[in-house]
Amino acid sequence: METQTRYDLNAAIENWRAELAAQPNLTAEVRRELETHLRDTIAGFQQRGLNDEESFWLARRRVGQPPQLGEEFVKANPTAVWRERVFWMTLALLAYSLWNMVTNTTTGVLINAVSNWWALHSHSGSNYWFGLNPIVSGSIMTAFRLLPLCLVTIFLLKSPLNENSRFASFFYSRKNVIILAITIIGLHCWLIVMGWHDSRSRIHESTAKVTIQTASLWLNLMSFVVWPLALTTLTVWLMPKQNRKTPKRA
Amino acid sequence: MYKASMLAKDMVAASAKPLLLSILAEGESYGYEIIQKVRELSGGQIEWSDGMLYPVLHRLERDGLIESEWKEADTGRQRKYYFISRDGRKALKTERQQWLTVHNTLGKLWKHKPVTI
Repeated sequence: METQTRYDLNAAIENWRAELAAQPNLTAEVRRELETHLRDTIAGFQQRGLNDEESFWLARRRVGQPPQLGEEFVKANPTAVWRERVFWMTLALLAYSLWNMVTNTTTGVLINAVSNWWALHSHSGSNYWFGLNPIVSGSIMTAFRLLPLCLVTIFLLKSPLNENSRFASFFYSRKNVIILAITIIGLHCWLIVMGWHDSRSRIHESTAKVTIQTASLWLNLMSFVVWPLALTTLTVWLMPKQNRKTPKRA
Repeated sequence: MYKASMLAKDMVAASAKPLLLSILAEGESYGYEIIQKVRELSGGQIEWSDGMLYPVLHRLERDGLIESEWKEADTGRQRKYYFISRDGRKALKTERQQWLTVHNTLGKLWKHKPVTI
């Protein structure tokens, strides 16, 4: 008796995608567009009565060989690939910079809260957290800062970070990046100013010292604002063109 | 860039821009549909290699003659639609005049009736 194995069309498309992804000259958007084209061509052949395997191989042939496609695209736009690479690098730098802001703020707030609570409730007379020495408590705080970053890195490495994923498409939106960056930068600056006001209200100092304090506050704010804002601007500018705006038809 | 079954390669390459602009002037479209339309209109004489269409579309987009937008198709999948821009319409007008000049000149030489815009 003859047995027939069913052709796995999805697996074949997945392999084709992997071949395409190996071409350094094809951007994520181009790969996505070519895949849509391949699927349309397959559907066209299937409607004409061809089976899955025949449809796939004919469609694949029609679309072209991945290395050949890569060469054609690099001829048409040599800078596109590098633009996208620099975009992801800038986005990573921006994310790191914003992450530092968030953790600086939260660890500061947490250290104060826990230290105050411990000072009030401990009978040991020690100001260290739960009686831990500064090295141990410092290590806990470092772990608190780095652990989520490690988890995000593992998630990115393990998950298929492709152009269709929700994670990637979130950062392909100019609006999302701007809102996220401005919120974190704004929140951080607000906390710095609040901290400065708090220290100013508690300590009565000479005018000269206050001027120096104010100048250092401005320097602090500038250093926290300028770099992330510059990165945000660069990221938005480098962002691949799709979804940056709603096009107006002629 | 193109493989031509009937038409010379250079001819196919030169006509790509006016063909694409003319198709998109009729309404938005996507790669697969454009190729089908060209094949159908030319009676199979203009055969574009599927994957090679996109570099041309992207070049036209970079030149500001067409624009694109990802939209959900009837199948539920996202598809990139192209449509002509204002500059594209102007460019199409120029292209049309130039191609008709060539057509009319050849028509006179070959004793065909001239075509007007």
